[in-house]
Amino acid sequence: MSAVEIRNVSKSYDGTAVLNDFTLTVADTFITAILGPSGSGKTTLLRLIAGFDRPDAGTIMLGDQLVDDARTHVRPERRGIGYVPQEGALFPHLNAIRNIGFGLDRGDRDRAADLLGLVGLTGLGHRYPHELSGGQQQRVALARALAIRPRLVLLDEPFSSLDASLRVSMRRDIARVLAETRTPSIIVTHDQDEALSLANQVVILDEGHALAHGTPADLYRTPISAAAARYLGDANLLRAEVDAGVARCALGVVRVRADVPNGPATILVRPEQLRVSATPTEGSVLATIGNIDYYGHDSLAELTLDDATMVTARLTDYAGIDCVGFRPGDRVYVQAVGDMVAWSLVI
Amino acid sequence: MTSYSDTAATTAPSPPPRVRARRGGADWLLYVSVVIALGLLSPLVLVGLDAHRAGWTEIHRVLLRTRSERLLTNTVELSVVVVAATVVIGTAAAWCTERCALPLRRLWTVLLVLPIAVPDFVAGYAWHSIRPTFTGLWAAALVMTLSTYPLIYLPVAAALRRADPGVDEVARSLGLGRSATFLRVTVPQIRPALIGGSLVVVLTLLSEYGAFEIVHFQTFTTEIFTEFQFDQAAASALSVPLVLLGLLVLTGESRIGRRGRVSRTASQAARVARRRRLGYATAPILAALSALIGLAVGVPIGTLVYWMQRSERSTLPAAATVGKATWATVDYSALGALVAVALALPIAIMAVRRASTVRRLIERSTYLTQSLPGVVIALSLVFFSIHYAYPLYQTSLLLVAAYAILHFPLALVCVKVSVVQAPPRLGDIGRSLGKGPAAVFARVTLPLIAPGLLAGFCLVFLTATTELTATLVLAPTGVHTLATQFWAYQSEAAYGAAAPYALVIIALAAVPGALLGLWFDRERYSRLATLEPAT
Repeated sequence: MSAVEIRNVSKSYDGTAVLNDFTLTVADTFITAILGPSGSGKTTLLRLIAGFDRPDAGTIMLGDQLVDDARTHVRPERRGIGYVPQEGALFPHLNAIRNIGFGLDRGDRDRAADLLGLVGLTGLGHRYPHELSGGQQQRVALARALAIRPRLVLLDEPFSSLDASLRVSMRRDIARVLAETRTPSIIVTHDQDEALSLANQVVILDEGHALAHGTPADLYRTPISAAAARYLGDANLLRAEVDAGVARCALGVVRVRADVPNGPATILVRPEQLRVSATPTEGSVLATIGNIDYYGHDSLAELTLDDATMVTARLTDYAGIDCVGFRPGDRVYVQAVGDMVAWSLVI
Repeated sequence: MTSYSDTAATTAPSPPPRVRARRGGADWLLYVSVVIALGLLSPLVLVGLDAHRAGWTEIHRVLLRTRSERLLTNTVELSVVVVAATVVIGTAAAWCTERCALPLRRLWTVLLVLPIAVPDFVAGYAWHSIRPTFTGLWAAALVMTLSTYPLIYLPVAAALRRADPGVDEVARSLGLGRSATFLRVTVPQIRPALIGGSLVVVLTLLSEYGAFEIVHFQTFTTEIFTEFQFDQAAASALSVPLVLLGLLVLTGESRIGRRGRVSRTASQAARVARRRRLGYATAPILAALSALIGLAVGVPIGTLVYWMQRSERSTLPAAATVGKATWATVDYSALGALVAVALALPIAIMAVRRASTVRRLIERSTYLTQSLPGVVIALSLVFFSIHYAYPLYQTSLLLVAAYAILHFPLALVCVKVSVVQAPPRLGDIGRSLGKGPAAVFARVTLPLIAPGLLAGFCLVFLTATTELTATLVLAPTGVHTLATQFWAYQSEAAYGAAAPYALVIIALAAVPGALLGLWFDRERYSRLATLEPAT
């Protein structure tokens, strides 16, 4: 069964359409990440699901319950959806334990203490929001949302206000807590790493439309369109002529997946699919190294092919080959390895 | 499983998205706000109608006589002197409490605000009763400086507290000395506070009646009052230049006040300035502050007590009379404060929850009442009741309405800050946790906005308690408030009989005054102290 089903939903604010005829189904038992740039309608989507706003048109189902259509609007307090907004939004006049207990009945105070322990804040229940760090505030906000045993938790850019090192550990903790409580959840983010590492399912949102969906690995390896490929990770998109499983392009002759029809196409070459070496290898072409961005575990190099095409290659120190030795201006040999994804341009 | 489709993929043409007017709640708030704003601005219209009724010839006659020139010069001269003096005193006092390690700092922050609990007319009376020759420009300037410097002190202290000390340190590292840093870095940061405070001081001067009447200093307001008793048409004609002066000051402030606003880039990294040790300067500074408070609060209270003790028991009013007047004052002031806060709440929510030009315009228009002196608002309400709603004439309803209109901007500033404390998303969270709108209001919204509402109530209550002009015009026959009783006795030079009423006023106003002083000292509410239309 699906946790949320959104059909043909439109929503505009002050005449500006934020979501336009939007359709999306989110499965149960998953962490679903909705990835999109700011202004793509992510927060609006969550607010509609939570019931804070009503869609202008369309229907929303939670499980098998209809919560929004032209005639129905189930109020937020009747939906049983936990909401973790950006920067926590804790009630400033209540301490941590009272924030967590806000949605609980008086007889259920033990649960607040349990949840405080679950998010790793035992002993800090008496602290007020301004006495907690950003990460601690987020944990309290998550515990508060989980307290009501929601059927679904919505997280709106929960890590955006945290610094990089804290973000990674928070991500792990939240994934653990959500798994332990077996709560389906939707998390919206503009951070690719976050979406790829945290979620079982990723939806790419672009200007109010779902551009693509799937598991993180599928979305990265076999994106449905060139636009979706560009969205997730670095992508070299090249014009090519496909003929019986091989494509002729600026990188020479490369293999493509079997299902691509013959004729003109766009092919996707991920930077890690390019092997760069100082000596010629089979099927390699000549290129000049431009700028190199060094990241420690690898480097990204801009290469200019001899027909002036620019591509990006990932340089890794793999066995025996010292890629760190390359300098801008070096002449190198580039070889594309593996099967490439291609989209036919034949209509 | 997850599935998706977008419009490109669906073959059936989808109907155009229906757009429903779903913002009914917000629009409702907008309409209420418009009605409130129009109500608040009605005195402006009524003044115009009243002047129109008086006729152009009357306006010409009144305005072009040499007396009007004298009134204008008096007003301008007084404004210049008082603004200069209050700016110096207010800034110096704020520097002492905010940037110096003053002994008993908290106590000083309360004491320095206390003069707003002493009505101007009581201060004027006290000084005048010490020396009957205490009259004219300099007398008026002294009285008004001592009673209005808190209007500069409060916003400047708040601005100093918010100013980033890092900026001062950078200036020092760039080679500027202490005084150069103060002039080139600190002063620009407190400039908006200085301008906003000066505006309120000038508006106070424009509307002051009691103190000037006592020290025989003529301004438009005293003249209107005199004319009101003999020639109503002349009084309404004189209101016109007074309103124009007020509007001029108000628009002038919004022009220059917006420029050079200083912001702090990263608010969470904010540091509080280290307070400087005073060393040898401690004694002289404490002496100066004591002298200031002694002159502003000690002299009036001392004089009142002196006159009471010198009087024979028979000339003093009976305790019951004072009690009755106290009750009337508390009653009207509290009602006025309640109405002002209640009216300010929808406007504040409307302006804070969603920004738009229309909303900003509605909100800012309500600040125009700041430029209307009490006497003008009172006269416009008299005009209104006589011509359009006679049953209301001489009822306490008008007096409460006058208090609410007159002090509305004070209430709005406080309520606005408190509404900001309770963003709508907190209400949303409360709803998502399974609580209905009523429960969310009681458990989230109300606790968050209550301090601001209370501050607004205190501020309006305090100001209404010390109000004289509108009260004199509008108090129904037979109703005596502390202010009108004091005024009646002091007009007959019955100083001893007048004193108890003044002392009760000060006692009544001192409690909310001290509370406000403490409130303003807290970072969260320091914006209240600017008493200006915060954007």
